[in-house]
Amino acid sequence: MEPDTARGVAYVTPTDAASSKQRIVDFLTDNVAALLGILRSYVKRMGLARGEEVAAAAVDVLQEVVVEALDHADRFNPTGQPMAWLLGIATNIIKRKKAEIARRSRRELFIGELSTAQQEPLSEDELFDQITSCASTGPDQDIEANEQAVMMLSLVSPEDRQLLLLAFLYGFEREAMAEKLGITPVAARVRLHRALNRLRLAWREQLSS
Amino acid sequence: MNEQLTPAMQRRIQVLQHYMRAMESGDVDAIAAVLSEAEQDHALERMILEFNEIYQHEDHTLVSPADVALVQQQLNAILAVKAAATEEAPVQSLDSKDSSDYTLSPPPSVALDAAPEPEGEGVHNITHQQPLKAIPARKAPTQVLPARQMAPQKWYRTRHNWMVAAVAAVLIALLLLPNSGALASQMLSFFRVQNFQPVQVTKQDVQTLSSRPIPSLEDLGTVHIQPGSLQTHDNLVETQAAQMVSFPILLPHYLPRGISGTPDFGVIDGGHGTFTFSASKAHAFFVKNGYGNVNIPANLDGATFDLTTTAGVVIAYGNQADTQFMVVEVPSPVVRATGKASLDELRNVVLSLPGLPPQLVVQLRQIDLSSGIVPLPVPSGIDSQSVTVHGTTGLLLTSNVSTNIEQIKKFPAGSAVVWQMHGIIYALGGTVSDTNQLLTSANSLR
Repeated sequence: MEPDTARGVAYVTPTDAASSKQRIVDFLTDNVAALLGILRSYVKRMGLARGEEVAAAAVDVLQEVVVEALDHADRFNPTGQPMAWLLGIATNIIKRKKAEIARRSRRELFIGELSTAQQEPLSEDELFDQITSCASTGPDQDIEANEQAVMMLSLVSPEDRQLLLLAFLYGFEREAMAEKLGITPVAARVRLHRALNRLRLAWREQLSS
Repeated sequence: MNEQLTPAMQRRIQVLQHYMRAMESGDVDAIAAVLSEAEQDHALERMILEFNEIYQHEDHTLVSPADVALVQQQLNAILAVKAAATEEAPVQSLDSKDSSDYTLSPPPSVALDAAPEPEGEGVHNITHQQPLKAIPARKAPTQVLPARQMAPQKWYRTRHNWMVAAVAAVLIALLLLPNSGALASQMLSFFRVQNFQPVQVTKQDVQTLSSRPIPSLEDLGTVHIQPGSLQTHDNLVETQAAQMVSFPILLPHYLPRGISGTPDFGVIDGGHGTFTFSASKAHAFFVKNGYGNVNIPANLDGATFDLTTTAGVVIAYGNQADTQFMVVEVPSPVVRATGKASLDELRNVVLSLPGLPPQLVVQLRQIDLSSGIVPLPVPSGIDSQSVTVHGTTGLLLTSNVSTNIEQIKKFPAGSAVVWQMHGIIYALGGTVSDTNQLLTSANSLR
């Protein structure tokens, strides 16, 4: 039988697993603050915790992310992006924790309210298998992507639009954007953040209207 | 504008829209899908990180350097467990000054504060080495207040006893912890102390436990202690102690009446211990001691339990002759169960031994430990009550034995309060009879 290369694929041999693990540790070493900050937003927005509980819940998730990542270092694609990989693990952990919470409160809820697809906790393999791409490309999707892109960019001013185009063109590399704009990377970052925030607010307003 | 949009740019904008929608609605699956795509696209990943920074500002979820330091300490413990479990060279700790490609800013992404390297051992007076011991089941219940110091110049010994008692209590509690659901699927289980609950241990219980052969961990399996675990360093000053722990040391800005003087600092190193259950060894012990009917679940054989602690600090005030007052700050230990069985099953076996004090067994069974509640053995002569410290729930322990000199020598009138905050277990206590003053002192930690 052909192996299921799309799911649970290991990217490195066992021999390389140790180096992958060390690379993950190195990455964590450098990015605890960034990871923790993002996870706090995830925990809050995904409804795992509220108020003062957010910080502790984010730490719990981060701890589990570290464990899962080290246990499955062989599944990390050496050419991939470690932050996205770790955050992907985090989303599945959050999902699993939410399912556990829902299960615990099952007796207090109507059965109908619980009939969601993901009530059961995920196994480790399932957890990782869920980290699969939803991207699909084809002619229809291309047209749709173009329409969406045009619509999105039309929400902001011409100045912001130009800046965002540069960002999308240069892959959000601040240095490249700064050079193109003739400003410092710090100034580029500030401008980019303002433009992104205005885009987000305009998009949100459009949705609500 | 249309001409400027390459397919890659269109796709990124589309993904950005997906991500915004997912974040606004809290759609976990959608966020996971976007992240999966970003995993192979550096630009997408950077875009998401930029956007996350905006969300952190909006959500007020920015992290402080203190937050990062605490998390680093906790993750270091996890990495130590992992390194020990895989018998690999210790992985690099999370203490680093290296800047990050993913640290998007000054705020909210704070630079990692490096934990300075401790000074050479020569500057520390290593007075004693205390390896992580197996569960001291044959010992009397843990004394929660320091005994009166009869030899003032050896004040560290009392402090050490205090620490041993505290560590022993935590070990007992942790080894009795039940399993979480994660263990059932062979996941690692990490336990972090959230709160404490008193478990009353009567004199009769002590006598019963003392009269019966209670198994130690060595009787039930194999114990491996990492060399150098729980070494103590005494007679330090604050700056030295601060360099040896990975969390900010808090000091009381109010001391109970009669307590004064410059504090002495001591540090107890982190440690790692592994216990592997052996069904044959346990069965042999049970048969030998008349417990042959105790049922040992088959899946418990070979189950491994790891306990990792990280360095904590003990701050001692007073002249150690008439007055004692100590502040203990210890990061919550990390407990991990691997293999085929849970900690809950181990606890059930231990509590099924015939002849154990039934009330004690009932108390231990009734506590819902899965939510991070640690049972704290409280012997006769100690009153316990729940209190609020730093806005969180703590446990106040008060000695009510002070009727005569001999009793006072054995067990001085005093009080202690213990609570958990941000992953650190704090305990203050000593020869303080006024609990209001003790709590005021506890709340003055900063």
